[in-house]
Amino acid sequence: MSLQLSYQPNYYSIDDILASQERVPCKVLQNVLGMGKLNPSAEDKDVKAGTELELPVWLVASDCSIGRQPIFAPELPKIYKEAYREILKADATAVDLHKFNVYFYELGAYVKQFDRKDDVHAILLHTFTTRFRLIMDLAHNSESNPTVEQKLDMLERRIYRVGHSARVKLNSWLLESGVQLQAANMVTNHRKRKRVDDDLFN
Amino acid sequence: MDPDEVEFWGEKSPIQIVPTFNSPAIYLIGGDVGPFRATIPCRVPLWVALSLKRQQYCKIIPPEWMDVDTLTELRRQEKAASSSFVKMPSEHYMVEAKLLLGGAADDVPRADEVKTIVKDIWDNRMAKLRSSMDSMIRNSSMYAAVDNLTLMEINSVRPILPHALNQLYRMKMVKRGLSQGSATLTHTRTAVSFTGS
Amino acid sequence: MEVDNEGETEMASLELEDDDDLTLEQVLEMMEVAWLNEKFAPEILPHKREIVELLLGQITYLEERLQQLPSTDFKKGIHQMEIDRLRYLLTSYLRLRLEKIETFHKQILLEEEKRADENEALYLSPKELEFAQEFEQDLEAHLAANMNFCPNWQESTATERIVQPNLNSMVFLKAKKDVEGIAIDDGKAESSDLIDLASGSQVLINYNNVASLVKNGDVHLI
Repeated sequence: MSLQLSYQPNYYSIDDILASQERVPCKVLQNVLGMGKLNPSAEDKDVKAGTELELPVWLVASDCSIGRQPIFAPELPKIYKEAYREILKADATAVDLHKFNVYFYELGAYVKQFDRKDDVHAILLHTFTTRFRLIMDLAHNSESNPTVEQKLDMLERRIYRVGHSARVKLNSWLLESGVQLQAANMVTNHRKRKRVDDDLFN
Repeated sequence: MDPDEVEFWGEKSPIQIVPTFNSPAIYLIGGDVGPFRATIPCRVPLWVALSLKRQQYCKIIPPEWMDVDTLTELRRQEKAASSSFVKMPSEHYMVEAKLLLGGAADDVPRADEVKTIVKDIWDNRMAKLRSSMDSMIRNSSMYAAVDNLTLMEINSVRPILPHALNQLYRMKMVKRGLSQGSATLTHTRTAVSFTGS
Repeated sequence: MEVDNEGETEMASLELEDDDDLTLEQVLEMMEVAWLNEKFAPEILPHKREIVELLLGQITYLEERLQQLPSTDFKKGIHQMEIDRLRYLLTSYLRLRLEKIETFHKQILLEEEKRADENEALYLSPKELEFAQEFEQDLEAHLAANMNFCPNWQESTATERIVQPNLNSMVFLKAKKDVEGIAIDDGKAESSDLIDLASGSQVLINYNNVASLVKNGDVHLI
């Protein structure tokens, strides 16, 4: 493929399916008959009003958007609550976002619909804009080290990966030119480097 | 775009050669080249020049800017302009430098020095580009003038910068509640009924 | 050196709408711009079939003539290189369009239908349209065969399964003439600033704000 499309959720996107599978805590507002299976910790046939559950965000979001009396009152998952937001505000670049949630931004886009004060919206933007430098630096530092992306959420990983592979291509193009790049900054492609060294330059 | 594709565009840049042969003009789709007269300079696309050079049919006259003094001055200006980019003497300076220093280094006076200075200028501009990208994202700007960037430089921030901005745009837009209909910023799957035969 | 000898020269039979007096060099430039635009625009653009066919005709014509040149003639190598460059440009252009058709087939077909209804010029060439329709049919047949455990799935999800290009993608462009009053959508609510572009200036901007300028040729993507 020579088209480079940036991530855009659509019906078939696995990342979106997985992200919307993440669970959010909710309180049940009405008795839900025959849906006892939603609550694995009880063996009742029905779910009673007042029960607290963790449900996938796709279920909760569609419940909220249908327009009739909602059945669930969703809450923010703890990673979007104030204590965690403070950590991100203090230094977002130091955070292992992957541990917060694999789909930090995508889940955030869903749960911010339940957030009246726009705090989640603000923290998503803050986190993304602050961490961009980190992602860019990782991508441009072309040593292929599979551990560097471990602390990135999936959206950041996508950006890191396209950025990194473009940088590897650019570096090998520059290398062909004989413009001497520092070894530490180079692609670890010894075969290629050797061939080029023998070639035209040096 | 692959750097090779940028190179492909750069190979169209005109350049002067001094042929070592005589020949009537060649009628190319992209414009006629020649006629060629031994020792009389003429202008051809870079890819033609390099092909003739490989067969020892010509000497290449490097572009005027590919000169130690001119480049040293350019490097000074580029360093002095701490937060902006100097206009380059050629839209394809990196491609021209790479191809000429590679395939016609014997025609470029003080080729090693030229190589070092071009590399300094490139590195300097790459460092500036990194901070420009960072501040663009930090300010969430959705517009930037990039007048003095060459195609290879623009291509070096692709796809990371546009992709990051696209994600930022999605994040901003979802708040505006425009997520459905016009743009596919988030996706809603309706539950499918599994009942029925 | 390999020289193809398939096909006949069709040059004389091909005409560009009202621009009979274009030189080949200008046609090539139009092709180059078309490639750049297609490469970077998120959506499929109006096809440039006349240009593609004219240049393909040139390739055939030139390759036939080349056979007559003795292989010792240095000109032969230069011509062959130019043909190879041109062939790369054309095939890459057509491939980019096929990739878009495969990715956004349903959306593209719907838009083409609308254009046909409103008597507007179509974006796909007849062969591309045929490809898009076959692709669509094959995919739906495949899904029908494999999703039969889920009745009505295909119909009930028909709309939400449509994959759309992100028209808000950020793109780089170069202005070919002075353009005034382009609105900038920065993702915030009402605030939309206007900018003017001088001929030759380059910017990074939301594709949606400039799509019409790309199509009418006032700017081209880079």
